[in-house]
Amino acid sequence: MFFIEDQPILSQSSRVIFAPCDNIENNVNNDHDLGIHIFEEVCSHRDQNLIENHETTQSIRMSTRTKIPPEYLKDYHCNLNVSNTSFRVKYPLNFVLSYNKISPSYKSFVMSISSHVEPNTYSEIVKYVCWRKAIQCEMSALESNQTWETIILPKNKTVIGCKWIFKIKYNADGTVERYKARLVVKGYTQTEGIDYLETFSPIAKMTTIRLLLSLAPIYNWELKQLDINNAFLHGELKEDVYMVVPPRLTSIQPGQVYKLKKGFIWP
Amino acid sequence: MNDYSLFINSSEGSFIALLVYMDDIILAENNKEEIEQVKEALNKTFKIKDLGDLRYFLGFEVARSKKGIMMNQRKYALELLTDAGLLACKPVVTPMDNLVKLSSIGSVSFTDVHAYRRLIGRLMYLTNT
Repeated sequence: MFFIEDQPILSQSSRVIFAPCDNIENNVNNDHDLGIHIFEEVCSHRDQNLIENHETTQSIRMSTRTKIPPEYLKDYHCNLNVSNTSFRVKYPLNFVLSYNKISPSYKSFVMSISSHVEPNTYSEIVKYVCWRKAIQCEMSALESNQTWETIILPKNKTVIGCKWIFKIKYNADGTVERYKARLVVKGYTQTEGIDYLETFSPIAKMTTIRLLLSLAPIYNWELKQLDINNAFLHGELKEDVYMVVPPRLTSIQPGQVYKLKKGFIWP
Repeated sequence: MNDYSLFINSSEGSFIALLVYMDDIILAENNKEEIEQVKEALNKTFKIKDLGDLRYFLGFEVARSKKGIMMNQRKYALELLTDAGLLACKPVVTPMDNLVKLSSIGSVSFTDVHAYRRLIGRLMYLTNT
């Protein structure tokens, strides 16, 4: 990871073009004797023209082009140091992205965290052995937990989709500990009261987290972090839920679905 | 305070707080032996992994020193910038055109409303630190 400070402007400044709108006024002057109704017509035309002009200047001003930073800047954090005073930014990026104040060990930790990219789709990862292993690990864990049974989909039942989520887990010093794949169901197609009766999300409020973290240095507490290996919930499902077979490495017969026996996670 | 994912156990001299966020757990304690006991008990019921001192949690990077705790969302902010396609952009005083008039009728809505909402939600989360 490298940094460029005071990076020169790379993108060309977009040109703003103003369409001329004074020709209408000339028209009004030339057709002076044609009567007031023409003047009104011109006025309304002019208003319309003004609105159109306004819109065109705005659409030119705000470019809809998706800005993609050049490939050679991928490993850099640009414009970190905004030093010129004419450029007064209230919350400059270097307030949150400063590396000077942190200790060397922490610096190496944060650098290594952003040097790995987590993939989004299944097709991205099939090339990598490490991710394939992670998927196999998750699948075998789910199977040993007897999360589902494979059946043919009964009539008049719908299936819900599922998705792989990929995460890189780090050691405390920032080295990659393992690649983790997690299977989640797309539960948002279900309706409460029909497909399920209760949900449960063990999520802590942000204020609680902040409180705990701020109390820790005051009372000199040890802060430890634990991680549950496979986050399948341990409750049995009463409802009938059918899930499509996730894209995986071993093939399965067409028409088969998984009937879920245990609770599952939503993304 | 009413939070059903924070578990507290305090007896004379010792205090344990267990904070659960889906499958992530923070343990705060003033007693080293107690920590081991709790870990042991948790490991029996669930398979847990000890990640040592708190370093990275919910997008926060946490650094501990004798003076206190430093938290930042550096990685989260960078990921947000990458997803928005604004990584190599210059910071400005006003990040939006201040002459834009917003109205609920008579104008074209955003092309991708969901992406916009997601971005707003992520920006709101960013204000946590």
